[in-house]
Amino acid sequence: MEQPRGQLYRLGPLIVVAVGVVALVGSVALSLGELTSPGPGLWPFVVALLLTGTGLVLLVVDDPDDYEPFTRGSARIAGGLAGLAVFVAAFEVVGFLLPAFLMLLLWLRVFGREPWRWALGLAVAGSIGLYLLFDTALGVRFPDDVVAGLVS
Amino acid sequence: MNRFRLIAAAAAALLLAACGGQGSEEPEAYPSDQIRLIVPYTAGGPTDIAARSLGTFMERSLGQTVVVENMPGASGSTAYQELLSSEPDGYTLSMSALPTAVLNYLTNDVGYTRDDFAPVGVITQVPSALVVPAASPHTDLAGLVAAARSDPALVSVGTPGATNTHAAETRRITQLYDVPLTVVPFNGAQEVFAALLGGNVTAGFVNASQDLMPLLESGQMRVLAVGTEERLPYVDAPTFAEQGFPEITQSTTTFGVVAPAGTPEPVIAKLEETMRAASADPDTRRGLDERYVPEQFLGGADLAALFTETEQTFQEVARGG
Amino acid sequence: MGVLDGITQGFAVALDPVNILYVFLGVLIGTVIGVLPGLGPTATIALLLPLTYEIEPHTAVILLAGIYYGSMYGGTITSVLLRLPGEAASVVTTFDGYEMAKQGRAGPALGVAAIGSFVGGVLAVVGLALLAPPLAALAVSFGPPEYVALAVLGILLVTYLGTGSALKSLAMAALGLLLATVGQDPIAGTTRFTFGQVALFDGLDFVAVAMGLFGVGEILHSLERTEKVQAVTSRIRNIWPSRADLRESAGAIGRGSVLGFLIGVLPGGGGVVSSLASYALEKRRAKDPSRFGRGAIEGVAGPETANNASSTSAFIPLLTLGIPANVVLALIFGALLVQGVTPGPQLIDQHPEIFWGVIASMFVGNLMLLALNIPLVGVFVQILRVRAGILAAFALLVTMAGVFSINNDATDMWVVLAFGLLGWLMKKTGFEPGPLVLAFVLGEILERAFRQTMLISGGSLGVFVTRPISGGILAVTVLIVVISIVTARRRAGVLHRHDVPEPASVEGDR
Repeated sequence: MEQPRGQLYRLGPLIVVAVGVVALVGSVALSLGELTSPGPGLWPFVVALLLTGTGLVLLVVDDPDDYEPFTRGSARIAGGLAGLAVFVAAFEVVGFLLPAFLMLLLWLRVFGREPWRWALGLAVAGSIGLYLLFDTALGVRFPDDVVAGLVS
Repeated sequence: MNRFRLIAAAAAALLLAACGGQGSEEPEAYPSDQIRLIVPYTAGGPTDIAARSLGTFMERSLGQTVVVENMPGASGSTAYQELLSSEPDGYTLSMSALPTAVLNYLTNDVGYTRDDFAPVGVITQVPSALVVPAASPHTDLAGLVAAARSDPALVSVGTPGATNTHAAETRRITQLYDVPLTVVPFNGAQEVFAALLGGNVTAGFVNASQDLMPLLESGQMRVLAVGTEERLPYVDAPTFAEQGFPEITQSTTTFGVVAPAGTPEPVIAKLEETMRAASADPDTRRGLDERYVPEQFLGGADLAALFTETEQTFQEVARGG
Repeated sequence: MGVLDGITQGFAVALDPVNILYVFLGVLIGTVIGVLPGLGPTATIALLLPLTYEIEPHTAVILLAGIYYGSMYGGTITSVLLRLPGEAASVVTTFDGYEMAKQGRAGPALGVAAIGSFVGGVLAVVGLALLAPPLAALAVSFGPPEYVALAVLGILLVTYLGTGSALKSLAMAALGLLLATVGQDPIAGTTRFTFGQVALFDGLDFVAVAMGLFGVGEILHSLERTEKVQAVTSRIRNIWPSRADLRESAGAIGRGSVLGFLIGVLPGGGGVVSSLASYALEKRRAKDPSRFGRGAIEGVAGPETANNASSTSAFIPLLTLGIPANVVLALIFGALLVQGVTPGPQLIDQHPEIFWGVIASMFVGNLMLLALNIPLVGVFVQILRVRAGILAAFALLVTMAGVFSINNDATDMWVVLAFGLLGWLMKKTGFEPGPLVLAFVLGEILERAFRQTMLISGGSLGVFVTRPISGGILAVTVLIVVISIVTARRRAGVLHRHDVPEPASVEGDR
C-alpha cells in the first residue's frame, strides 16, 4: 500500500482519541457514582469510552484515501477564521453595523476577489440592509450600535 | 473564547467610561430614558406574561418606554449576570423568580449572591401543589406517605426541574419527615403532566398555575396537598401543614423585580411606588391573573426578607443534594 | 359533536376573511423566517407573541401555527441551497438536497420538498381531525423507557446514514453524545464541562452547532480552493421536478407522511426521529442504496414530508391534553393562556372554534404554501447564480446575526465559529457532521430518559424489555443490527471489504 503522505492522516483519529481521553478524565473528576445511583460523570464516561474506543480502532484501520491533504489554501482558512473572530469580538463592543461592513468587505474583496466597486457597494448595502432587517424589522436586540448611535 | 470576551468587556468598559454614564443625573429626573426589563425565561411563559403586564403599566405611569427583553438560559443566571453587568441606574431591571434565583447560587457557582441585587417588589406569588393522576390509589397525603414508608422504592415524584423549588422541597420532605420519595426531574411541568397521565410517576410536585387548572377541572388529576400556609380559594385541597407537615410551606414561587445592587435609593423608591400602584390597578391585575397577585403589596424590604428566608431554608438541602 | 360538524364549523372559521389574511401572513412570515439561517420559528413567535394579545384567540393560534409550519417549508431552502439546516429536522435534508444542488438539481429538490411537505401536511391535518384523541393517549403512554428505546433506535439509524465508513459515523455519534452532556446534569443539576461559563449551563445551542458544522464548515472548506471559485453550480439544468422525479419520490412522500404523522405525536424529538426514520427507510428500500448521500431525490422527499407531517401532528397533545410537544408549541400554549383560554381536555367542547378552526386553517395554509413555494423555487434557485464569494459572505453574516438572535447572546456566535473550524477539519479528514448533530439532539433525550427510568424502576434494566412499546422498539433495533451484520458479511465476502467489525462494535457497546 503506497502512502504518499506518510502517517499524517492518522492525525484525525489521534485527535478523536485525545478528546476521548480528556473527556474520560473529566468524567471521573465529576464522580461516577454507581450503576444504581449514577453520578453526573457516569454517562459522559460511557460516551467518552465509546469515543476513545472507536478512535483507537480508526487509528489502525482507517482508510488514508478519506483524507484531503492540507494545502497552501489552508492558510486562507486561518485568515477567514481570524476575520470572523474579530467580527464577533467587535460586535459585542460596537454593535452590528461597523463590524458587519468590515467583515463583508474582507470576504468580498479578499476572499471573493470582487472588484473594489462591487465589494464596497455590497458591503455598505448588506450591512445596512441586514441591520434594518434584524434590528428594526425583527426586533432583535443587537448590542448598542456605535454607528447607528451617530445617525440618530 | 474566554479571553476574547474579557478583552471585549474591557473595551466596552473603557468606552462607557469615555462617554460618561448617565447615572450622574439628578434622581428627580428618573426616568428620563427607556427602561429595560429583562425576563430570565422564554416569551410566553408566566414570568414573561407578568413582565409584559407590568411593563404596560409602567409605561403609562412613568411616561417612558419599557422594553421587555427575554434572556432565557441557565435557570435565569444568564439574565441575572446581564443585569449585574449593567449600570446600577434604574434603567436595567430584571424579573426574578424565587426560590430558583437563590437555589442557582446555592447549587452552582454562578457569579452572584443575593447581596448583588437591590430588590424592588413582588408582582405575583404562585403556590405549588402535590398532584396525583385520577387513577392513583392514593386519596390523601397520609396514604401516599404510608405507601412510601412501606416500600422506599415505591413512590416517585416528578418535578419540573432538577434544581428548582419543587425538587428541593420534595427532598426536604424526605429529610425532615423521613419519607422516602424518589425525585424524578423532568424538563418543565408539561412533561410532568404527561408522565402522570401515562402513569410513569406516582405523583407530581408542580406549580398550581393556570396550566394545571384544566387538568383538575376535568378530573384527570387531583391535588393531595397545597404548599401554602393557608388553603387556597381556587384549589379544593388541604395544606401540607394541616396534614402534619408544618415545614412544607417554602415552595411558593415569588415573581418580583430586582435592580443591580448600588441603584440609588430614590430610584428604587420610585419603582417600588409604581409597582404598588400596578398591583392595585384592575387592568394590570387581570393581566397578571388576579389569583396570583398578593392581597397585600410586598415591597423591596419584603422581597429582601424573602431572599434571606429562602436562602436559610434551602441551604441544607442544596448542600446535601 | 360529529367530526363532520366540526370540520364544517372549522372551515367557517378558517375561511373568514380576517383569518384567511392571518393564515397568509403566518405562512409568509414563516417562509421568510425559515429562509434566514438561525432565525427559527421559536425566536419569531416569541417576538410576535405580544402582538397576538390584541386579536381573537383562534386567530392568534391560526397565525402562530402558520408561522410554525411555514418555517418548516422555508428551512428546506437553506438546507438545500447552502447546506445550512436551521433546525434539527432539516439536517437530514442536507445529505441529498445539497448534493442535488451541487449537481444543478436544486430546483427539483426544492419542488419535490414543497410537494412532499404539502402532501404530508394535508394528510396529517386529516389525521389530526380523525384520530386526535386516540393518538393523544399513545403520546402519553410514552414514558421514559420508551424514549430510551426510541433514542437508541435513532442513534443506530444515525450511524447507518452516512456514505462513508460506519465506524467513523459511530465515532462522530459518540462525539455528539459527549457534546450533549455539556451543561447541567438533567437529574442532579451539577454542571458538566462548562468551564465556569454560565452561558454553557444549558448546554450548547443546537442551531449554533449545526450552523457551524454544516454551513460555516462548508464555506471555510470552499475558501481553501484558491482558484477562482465558481458558484455552487454553473449549470442549473431544470427548475421543475420532472415526471420521473415525481414518480421516484411518490412512494417516499407517502411513507414519509405516515411516519411523520405517527412519530410527530411524541412530545420532544418527534420531528428529528421521524425525518431520520424516513431517510433510513428510503435508503433501505432503495435498489441501490449507494445513491443516497449523492443526490437521491427520495432522500429529500421522504424526510421533508415526514418533517412537515410531524409539525402538524405535534399539535395533537396540545389541543387534546394541554401538553405542548416542543418549544414552539409551548409558546402557542402561552399565547392562549394570556387570552384566558387554557388548552386541555375540554378545549374541543369549550372552544370548538379554536380546535376545528386551527385544523381547517392548516389545510388552507398548506395550500397557500404550495402556491407560494412552487413559483418561489424558481426565484430561490437563481440565488445559486450569484457568485460564490458573495453568497458565502452574506450567508456567514446572516448566520451570525441569526444565531445571536436565538438567545441574545454572543456566546452562540463563538460556538458557531468553533464548530465551523471543527466542521472544516472533519471535511478534511472524512468525518461526517450528520451523525454528530443528530446524536447531539438525541443524546439529551437519551440520557435524561435513561436516568429517569433508572430512578423509577429502582435501577432495574428489565423495564425496557417488559414494557410492550419499549420492548417492541428495542426488538426492531436488534433486528436492524442483525440484518446489517448479515448483509455486511455477505458483502464482505463478495468485495473483500473489511467492514465486518463495525456492526459488531455497535453491539458490544450496549
